[in-house]
Amino acid sequence: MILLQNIWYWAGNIYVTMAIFCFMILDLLNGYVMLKYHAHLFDPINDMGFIKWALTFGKESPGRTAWLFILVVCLALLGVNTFVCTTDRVIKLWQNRHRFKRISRFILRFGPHVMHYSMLIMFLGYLVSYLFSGTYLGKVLLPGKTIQVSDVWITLENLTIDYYTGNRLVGMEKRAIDVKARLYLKSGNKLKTAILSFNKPVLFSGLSIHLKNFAPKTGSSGMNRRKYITLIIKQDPGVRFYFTGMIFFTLGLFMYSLEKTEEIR
Amino acid sequence: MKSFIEIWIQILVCLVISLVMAGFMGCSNDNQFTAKKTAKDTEDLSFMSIGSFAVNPLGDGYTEVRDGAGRTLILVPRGKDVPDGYEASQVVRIPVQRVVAYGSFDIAILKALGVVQEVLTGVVTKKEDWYVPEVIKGMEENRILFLGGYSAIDFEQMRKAEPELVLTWDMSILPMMDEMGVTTAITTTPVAMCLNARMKFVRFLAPFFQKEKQAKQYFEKVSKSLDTIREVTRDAKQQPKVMWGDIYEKRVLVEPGNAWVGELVELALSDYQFKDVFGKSCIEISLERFLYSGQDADIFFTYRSPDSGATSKAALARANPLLARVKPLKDGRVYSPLPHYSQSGDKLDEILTDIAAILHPECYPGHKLKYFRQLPDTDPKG
Amino acid sequence: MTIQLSIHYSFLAAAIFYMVSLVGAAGKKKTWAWYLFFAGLLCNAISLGLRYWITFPLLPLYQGAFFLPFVVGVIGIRFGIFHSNALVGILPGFFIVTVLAWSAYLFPNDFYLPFLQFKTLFAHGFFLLGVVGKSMFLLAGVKAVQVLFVQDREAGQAKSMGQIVSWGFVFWTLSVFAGAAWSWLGWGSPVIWDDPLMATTMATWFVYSLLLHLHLTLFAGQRPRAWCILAGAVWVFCFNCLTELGPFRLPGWLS
Repeated sequence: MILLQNIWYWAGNIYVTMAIFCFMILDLLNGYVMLKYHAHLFDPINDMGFIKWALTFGKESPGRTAWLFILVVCLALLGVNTFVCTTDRVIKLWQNRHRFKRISRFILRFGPHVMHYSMLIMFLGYLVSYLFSGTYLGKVLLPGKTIQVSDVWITLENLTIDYYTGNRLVGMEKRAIDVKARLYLKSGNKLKTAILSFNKPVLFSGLSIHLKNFAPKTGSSGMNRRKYITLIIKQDPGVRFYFTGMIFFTLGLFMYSLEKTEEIR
Repeated sequence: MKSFIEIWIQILVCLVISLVMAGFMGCSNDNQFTAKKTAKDTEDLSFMSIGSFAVNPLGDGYTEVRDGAGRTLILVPRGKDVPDGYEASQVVRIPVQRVVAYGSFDIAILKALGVVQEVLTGVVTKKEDWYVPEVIKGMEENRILFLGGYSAIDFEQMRKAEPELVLTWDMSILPMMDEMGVTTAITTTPVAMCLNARMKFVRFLAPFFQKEKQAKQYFEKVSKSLDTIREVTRDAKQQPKVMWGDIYEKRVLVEPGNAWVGELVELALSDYQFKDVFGKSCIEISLERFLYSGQDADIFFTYRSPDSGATSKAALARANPLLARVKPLKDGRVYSPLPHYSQSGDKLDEILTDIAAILHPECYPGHKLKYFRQLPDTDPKG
Repeated sequence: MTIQLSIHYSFLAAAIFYMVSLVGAAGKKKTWAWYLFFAGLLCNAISLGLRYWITFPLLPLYQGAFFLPFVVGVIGIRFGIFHSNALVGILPGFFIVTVLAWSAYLFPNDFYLPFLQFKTLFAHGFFLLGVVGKSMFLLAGVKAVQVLFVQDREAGQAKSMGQIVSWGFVFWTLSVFAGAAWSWLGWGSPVIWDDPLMATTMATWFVYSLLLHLHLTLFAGQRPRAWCILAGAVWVFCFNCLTELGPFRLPGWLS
């Protein structure tokens, strides 16, 4: 019992937090150098998933990729440390709730703890994403053509590319300024028509479909006149977690800021 | 409490030292080539990354490769079963016996592997524009078909060529190739190929044809030429400023610093004017930056060949008056690639030597350029 | 081309005004220094407005260096960090703005063309919130200098230093989240592993997370925290400002 209490104490110790932060900061600095000069080693993580990447690119150049493994370990330690420390403080806060004259002050005092727990939800999201997500690369659609991804059939019904005809935007004369691809999606009995554009993905049947590239990019005759789009298709169970975590973290930030503002008043 | 903090500081210091050491270990730039064989180069069964490409031998003759678009292909020896988890469009039966190739560099690498005559069945350049004897002969004998220009492929001709594999940069043909049941490998990358990747690209194509030995010989030949360049230029007294790109109407395209040409220039003790630019080959940058870099450059490599107007400095300046403002066109040296340059990837060692000789002519007395031509000030009369 | 020249020269004018205002402040001509500083802010604003005019709704990479001196100046004045009570009230602030302006001018990195994926509010949010966050971190450093070297023992100084760091953290976090949202919308993942600046952005987030927890440790005192905040500002300058700069470019009118 005493051993467990000691482990719990050290797991949530603020100086452990400081040490982990310092280590991560230095590790990320190392990571900056590695990403700058060896970006090709890390780009495949975007579609391969962490495990497969670790067994291939990660294993091939350990000197250049070690920082990422260290970062993962540090994030895990930080997660444990944050959970223990935050839970301790939430318990104490609850036990001392009678000291607060106003319930609003009591609720706002949870702000930092909301942030801490949200961070754990975000970490969980990233973990799930890098372990379990699937990416379908190199999916190309021509107008009228259909591809199959998992059990989803995707047809490009129409591709509209708007070319810039003004003169305000520098370097954009006769260049594509907007791309709209009308997709028809089918999975079993589920049907959907949606417009895909840059930064406007289409969500359907657990897949998120993002526009990666398109052609032709210029209104005048270019190297490739055939109209097509390239897609990034992802199946990511972690996305809900990390965006939920971000929203709650923002809520916690807001609560914390409000509490500090009230204190000043 | 004080000793507790001291302990933590000691632990932190140890961790910092170990991190810094790990950092220095991994800090070596891909640019530092040596002719020494590393365990990676000689070991055939280990994963190998080649820029954005990758080769992953799975054992028992199977190989998984990653092409320039990040697509995974599985190379399956003939007669063996296809492993689970791969779509039909990902499977390539090896050794490949019939190939259509878009890129002249890809075809040159096939030549380096010694398979171009046997496997090449279709190209996208007319016979008149070829300088590779094997390709010309193949087209004359109708073994190699002209499939139309790269922007207007005749898919009926493609069917006649009966390829098992298509090597291309054009992702728009993927749906058609899927319909035809032909596997496609994208051989260009979103980021420019570094020098290491350019040299090692042969080792990406080699497993398709089971020519790993020839690939190693090619790589060693190029590696050796690089060592020679480093050796010969080590004591070069001058460090010329070099730029590589061009202006087309209002578009300015250059080779970024991470491209193989940028890395070679720096390796040969010269100053590449776009070494800080990062991105794909022929990256577009602002005109202001191009002209600024050009105002004190000594050597300018243009993309244009003589066929596309690069016959003299005056001709280049006429094609685009803005170009006339860069210093090499006023009182420096301008070089244009000869028509067979892009088709000579199998002679990459000679190309690298040519470039080094251009940068440091004093280190290569009597060297005759084979792949580049120095542009005269004006076109010859008559 | 005219607009691009206007952008270039208005920013140059801003940098010159900042530098002369710094010299004026050092020469104890505080009124003139303030007039020149405001003139610099005006020229900087014109330059930024024109930059956005020729690119909006897109924005090329590495524009932050040109926005930073303006945002630092405006926030510094608005929140009383640059105050006229003593020379040390304005000198550190004018100094940091001058350094930022001249480093952006002499080490520009804005030669890339805009790309279509920037066409989303999240991208602009990521960019602008990041600039504001960086500005607050640098201004917290200015405040730390005032606390450390003015020997001002007012409790309010240290508290306002902490508040600036907190607000900087808020903006920096929102910038990171906006960037994650943009990254997911555009590329399907909240983190794209080919941008080295992603590592320094996260590192800075952890630096300031660490600073915000200092009050729970032995470093809770005013002076230790001021030193840590000053170190944080130096960190931000080295790893979030300098990393966005390009190679040295001698101005055409000097060569």
